[in-house]
Amino acid sequence: MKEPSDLELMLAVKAGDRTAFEQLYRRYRDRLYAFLVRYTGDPSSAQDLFQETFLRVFRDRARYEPRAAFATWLFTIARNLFLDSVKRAWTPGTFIEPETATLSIPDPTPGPLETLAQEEAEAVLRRAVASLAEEDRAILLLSRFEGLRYREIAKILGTSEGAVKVRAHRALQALRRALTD
Amino acid sequence: MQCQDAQALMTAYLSDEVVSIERREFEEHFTTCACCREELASFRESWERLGRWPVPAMDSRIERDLLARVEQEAATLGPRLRPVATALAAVAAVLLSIAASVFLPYERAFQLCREGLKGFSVFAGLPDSTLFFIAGIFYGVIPLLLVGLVSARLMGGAGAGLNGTATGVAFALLMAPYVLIVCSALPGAFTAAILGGIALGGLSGSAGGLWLGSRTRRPAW
Repeated sequence: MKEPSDLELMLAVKAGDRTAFEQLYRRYRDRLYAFLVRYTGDPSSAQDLFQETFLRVFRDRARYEPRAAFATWLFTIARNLFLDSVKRAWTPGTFIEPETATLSIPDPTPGPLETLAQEEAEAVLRRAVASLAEEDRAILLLSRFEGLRYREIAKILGTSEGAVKVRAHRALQALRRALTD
Repeated sequence: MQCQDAQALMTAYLSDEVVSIERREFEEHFTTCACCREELASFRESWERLGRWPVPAMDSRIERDLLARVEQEAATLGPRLRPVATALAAVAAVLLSIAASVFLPYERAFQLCREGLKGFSVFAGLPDSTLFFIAGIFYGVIPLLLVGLVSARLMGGAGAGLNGTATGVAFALLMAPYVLIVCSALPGAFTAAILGGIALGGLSGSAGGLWLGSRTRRPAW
């Protein structure tokens, strides 16, 4: 049987179908969570934002208009909630440093030295991404991991596709510099 | 394609955002420019390294909590009466309606109605009480439409029908003493007609305002 599209599911959610909400949730759960962990740099904040984002999707279901893709809407909500939380609780320039012990390791049986090296590599990467400006970080992560097109990212950020293209390049340049420093 | 142009496109190329002619020109440039090839390889390395960034698995309790909260939300998100907001909205509408009746007294509105409608054969011969009723509608619909729009933008659209009806009823009840005093010199049938018009206008204006307001409210996202 053909899987229902995001749009079909969201319209069903709008009509009050909670099973459709759970289907959408399962479809986007891992993607959103991974994005938030990388974007905030902190699994604990990511978990809070993850819950708030899906709750907001559910609360605002009546106002969903199928003008933009569901993914665009979802990531827009997530980013706006993050920006709100930054305004509320963080001082400018701060970035939550996650506990390295919580990071998962792709190889199931690495030796202690390998684990250390991997953790160190991840920490370098995390710091490099954290050093990017918020918008640049969002662009790079949405493009690299979510496979969103520049025009979709532009909608999320409320900017032009051209600006996203320029900023994406600037972000990767900065990341490269940070990784090689 | 010049090196500068090619280098500006590198991230877009890695993101598969360079298409057709530009992509061909970009790839052709790399067959001849070792410097740009090297630069692209370096960008690609960072791009690939970023792509290998693992994330921790989500705590399974998060999912349970979330779905429980959604369940809870679903139970509380139905139409809900908001007594304080409803009372405030009704009082605001009463003040607006009274202000309107000061600037344009009910008798004057009745006369304007009669003059305005006399050109239409379908309205010819309408009794005065009906014209008072029609005039009364404006004193209800306009204040409640405005108040409903503002209320919906402030408090959201959930329960627009229920709260709109409650506001309309409260408004009509609060207006009744004022109308009875102001229209004490008029025959009882006219006073009742104005009051009926105000109540009907209030109910429809309130529901319409809340509905319109909830449709146009700026979403949090």
